[in-house]
Amino acid sequence: MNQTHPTPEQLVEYLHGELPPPRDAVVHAHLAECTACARAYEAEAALSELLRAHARSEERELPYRVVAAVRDAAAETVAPPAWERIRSAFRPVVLIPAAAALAVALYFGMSGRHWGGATPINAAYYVNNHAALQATTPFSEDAPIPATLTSDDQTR
Amino acid sequence: MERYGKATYNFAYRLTRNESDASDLTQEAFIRVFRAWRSFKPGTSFRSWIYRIVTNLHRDELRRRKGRYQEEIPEANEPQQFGSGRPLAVQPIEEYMEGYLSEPVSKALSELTAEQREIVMLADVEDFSYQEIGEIVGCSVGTVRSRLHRARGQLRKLVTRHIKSSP
Repeated sequence: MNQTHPTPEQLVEYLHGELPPPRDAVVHAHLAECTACARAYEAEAALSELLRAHARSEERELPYRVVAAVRDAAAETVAPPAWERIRSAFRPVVLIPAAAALAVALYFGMSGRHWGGATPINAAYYVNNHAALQATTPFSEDAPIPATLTSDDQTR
Repeated sequence: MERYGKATYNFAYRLTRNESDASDLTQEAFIRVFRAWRSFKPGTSFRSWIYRIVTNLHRDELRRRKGRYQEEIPEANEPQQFGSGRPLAVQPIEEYMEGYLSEPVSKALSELTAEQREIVMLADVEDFSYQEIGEIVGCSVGTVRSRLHRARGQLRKLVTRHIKSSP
């Protein structure tokens, strides 16, 4: 039997898993052989279990008013006052990217009037154009007689 | 809050032994967490952090109420020798806990100093390592060992006394 009895402090450290591994192994082996130390260890373990059992028996739910109060305080922390938000909006780190984004948007927005987007269709333009085209087609019924076939040519 | 709220509240209750004080302590601790969120170091234990806040707030409150927080452990709190008195191991703790032991343990915990209550709760109920306890209460691992040993000795003495005096 290992006659080096662990001190009471070491038994508590063994109970809490705080001994270095070599010492932990020695105490573990000693407790298996020494009845007096085993009883002392059991007393320490019983005290710990007593505390845990007592803690379990009086466990309580977190009151809702605490949760609500913390959420309210957190909301105030997360959402600063209006003047603070306005001030922070004019910080360079916000202002520069915002100005750049605005400039890009304006550039493409203005140029979109010329290059992008669908051009509105004026139906009257196409009808009139079609009518004019029909009127100038050489072989249509309504087409005017070419100048080469007029009497002016025959007389020439 | 959802994850640590209940545990923090119960820890605060074990320190204060009072629901109203535990509520105030928990509320103030979480508000401080929200305000100081940026100072939290990723990779460290959030539970240790909030327990440290609770512990400090509790000490501040005790100082405010009593004028001075009792850092010193009374002379009478010397650790009890093993084998003296009735060993708790031979008592059927689980079956007596609800009706028989709850009150003596509760009284014994109330009679510990705030510092002693902190340390036994952190070690035995909350299962923190000595290193973590040292970080929470602000002392070295060696001090945690000695304080814990004295606190457990005092607790054993008080529990035994209250069990004997209970009807």
